[in-house]
Amino acid sequence: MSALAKPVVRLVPPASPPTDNARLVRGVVAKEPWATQQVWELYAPMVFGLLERSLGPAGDAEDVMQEVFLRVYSRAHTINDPNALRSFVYSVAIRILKWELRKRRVRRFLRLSPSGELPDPPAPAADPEHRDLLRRFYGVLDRLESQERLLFGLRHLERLTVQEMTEVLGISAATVKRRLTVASARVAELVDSDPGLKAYYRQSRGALAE
Amino acid sequence: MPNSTERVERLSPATEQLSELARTQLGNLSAAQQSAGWRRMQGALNRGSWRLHLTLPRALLVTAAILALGFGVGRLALRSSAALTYELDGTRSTASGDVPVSERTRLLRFSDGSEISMQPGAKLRVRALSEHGAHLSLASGTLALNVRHLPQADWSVNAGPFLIQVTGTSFAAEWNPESAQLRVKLDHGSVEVSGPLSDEAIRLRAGQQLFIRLREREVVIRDIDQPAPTVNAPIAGVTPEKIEPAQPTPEASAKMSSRPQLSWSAQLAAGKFDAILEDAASRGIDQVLRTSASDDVAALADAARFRRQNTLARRALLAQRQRFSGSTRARDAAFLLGRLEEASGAATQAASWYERYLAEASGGTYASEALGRKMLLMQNAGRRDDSLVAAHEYLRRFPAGSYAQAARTLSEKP
Repeated sequence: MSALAKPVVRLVPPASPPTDNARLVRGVVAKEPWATQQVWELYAPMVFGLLERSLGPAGDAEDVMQEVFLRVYSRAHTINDPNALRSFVYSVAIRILKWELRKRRVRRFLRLSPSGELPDPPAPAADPEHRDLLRRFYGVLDRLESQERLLFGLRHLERLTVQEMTEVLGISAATVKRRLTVASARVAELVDSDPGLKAYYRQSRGALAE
Repeated sequence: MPNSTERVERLSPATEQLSELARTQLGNLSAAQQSAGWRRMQGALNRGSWRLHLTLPRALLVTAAILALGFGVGRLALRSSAALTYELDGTRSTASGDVPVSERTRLLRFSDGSEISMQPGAKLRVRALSEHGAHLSLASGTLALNVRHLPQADWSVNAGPFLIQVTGTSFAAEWNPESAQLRVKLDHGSVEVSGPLSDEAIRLRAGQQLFIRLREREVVIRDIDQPAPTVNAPIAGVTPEKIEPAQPTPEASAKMSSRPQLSWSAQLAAGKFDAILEDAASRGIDQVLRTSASDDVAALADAARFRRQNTLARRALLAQRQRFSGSTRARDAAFLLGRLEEASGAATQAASWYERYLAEASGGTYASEALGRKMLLMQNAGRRDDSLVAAHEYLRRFPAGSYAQAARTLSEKP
C-alpha cells in the first residue's frame, strides 16, 4: 500500500477555545489538568486584581490567590449552575479575602510584628514614586475594621455598586450603606491627618492647576 | 461602576485621588506572574492539596466522624489487598513521588509485572499506587509502558493537560511542555486520550499513533508505520526522520525485513528490550561488543540488565569501560557493575566498583548512590571504621540525600 493510501484521521478542533462551562466544571471536579489550567487562565487576572487592590502592595496577593484557586478546585463539585462559574470564583475570592483581612487585623492586634504593623515588602507593581504613597494609603486602610475595609475596597477600588455588594456579601443594602459611610469618613479623616498623603494631594492639585 | 445617583458616601478629594492611584497602579497580573503562579499551583496540586478547606464546626464534625468510623475503616483496610509496589534500580518502593531524573534509561518494574521504561531526562511522578494500577504524571520526556492485561487494571498517565487512560497495553508516550506537543504510539491494546482539543476521549487502537499539537490545535491519528505528519514543526524533536537506523553487520542485514529498523537507543526508549537482545544475538554478541558504537553497547547493557541477563549485562558494561575508557558512559558503567555485583551478593566486588566510580566521577550522576551504598556495604560487612568514614563523607556532601538518615544513625551510634 502506498503511503498516500494509508488512513489518516484528522480531527478539526474548534477555532476558539472551548467555552462550554459545564464541561469545564466537570473537568475541574474530575481534577483534569486541562480544566484546572483553563480556569486559572480565565480567572487569575480577575482574582489577582481584586486581591491586590484590596490587600495593598504587600506582595501577599499571589499567595492568597493560590489559596483561592485551591478552594475553587476543591469546592467545584458544589457548583449547581456551571454558567455561574465566574461568580463562584469571585465569591470564593471574596470569602478568602474577608478571612485574610480578619487575620491581618488579629495579627496587628496581637502585635506579631515589632511595630504592630506588617513589615514593608516590596511593591514591584507600582511606580517607584508612588510606592511610598500606596504604602501609606494602605496603612490607613489597615486601621479600619475588617468589614469596613472590605466594603471600602469593593466600593472604591473595585467600583462595585451597592446592589452588587449586597449580592456578593449577603448583607442588606442598608448595612452596606451605613458601614460605607462610616468607613469613608474614617479614611478621609486619617488621610487628612497624614502629612505625607496630604502633601501628595496638594502637590498633584497644584500640578493640575498649572 | 457606581453611578452618582446611588452614591451614599462622600470621599474627600484626597481619598478619591489615592483610590484612583491604587486602581491604576495595582492589580495588574503580568503574563510572567500568571505563568509562575500556575507552576506553583501545579506543584500544590501535585502534592495533593485538593483538600477541603474546613471551617471549625465542619472540622469538628469530620473529626468526630473519622473517630467513629476509624475502627471499621481500619478493619476494612486490613482486609483489602495491598497496593502495587515498584522497583527502581533494585530498590523497592511503595511510595508515590518523583522518580529521580537520570541521564540513562531507567526501568520501573511493578509488582503486577507491568513495566515502565523512562528515556533519559524524562520527568515522571508516581502520583498514586492502587491495587490495580498506578496514576502517573509525565512532566516531560518519553515513557514506554508495558501494562499487564489483568482484570480491573487501572492505569493512567497525565501528560500536560492530557490524560491517557490505559487497560492492558503496550505504548509509548512523549510530552514536550515547551512546544505543548503530545505523541502516543500504541503497539497493543487500547488507550483513550482526553484533553482540551476534543469533547470526547480519543480512542486509539493497536498499531496507531496520535500526534497532538496543542498550540496549533491539531490532532492527527496515523498508522504506526507512517511518518509524523508534515507540518511546520516536528513533534517534540523525535520525528521518524531523526531516528537513525541501526548499523547491522552484512550477515544480519540479510535477516532483516524491509521495514526500517529503529536504533537500539530508540528501541530501549520504547521498552523493546527483547528486540534489542534478539537483534544482538542474531548479529553475534562478540561482534556487537567489539564493533558497536558506545550508545548501542549501553543500550544492550541496559536491555540485559532490565531482562536480568546479568552475565550479558556485565560483559557489555566491561566492554564499555574497555573500549570507551574515559567517557561518561564508561564511568557510569563502574557504578552499574557495582549494582550488578551487589545484586548477585558479591559485596566486596560491589564496594570496589563503587569506589572506582567515586574516584573517576566524584561529582557524577550516581555519586550519592555509590557513596550511600558503599557505606551500607561496609556497615553490613562489620567494617565500622570504614562505614563511619563513608557516613561522614556522605553527610558532608549530601546532607539531604536519600542515605542521609542512615548515615546519621550510623554516626550517632556509640
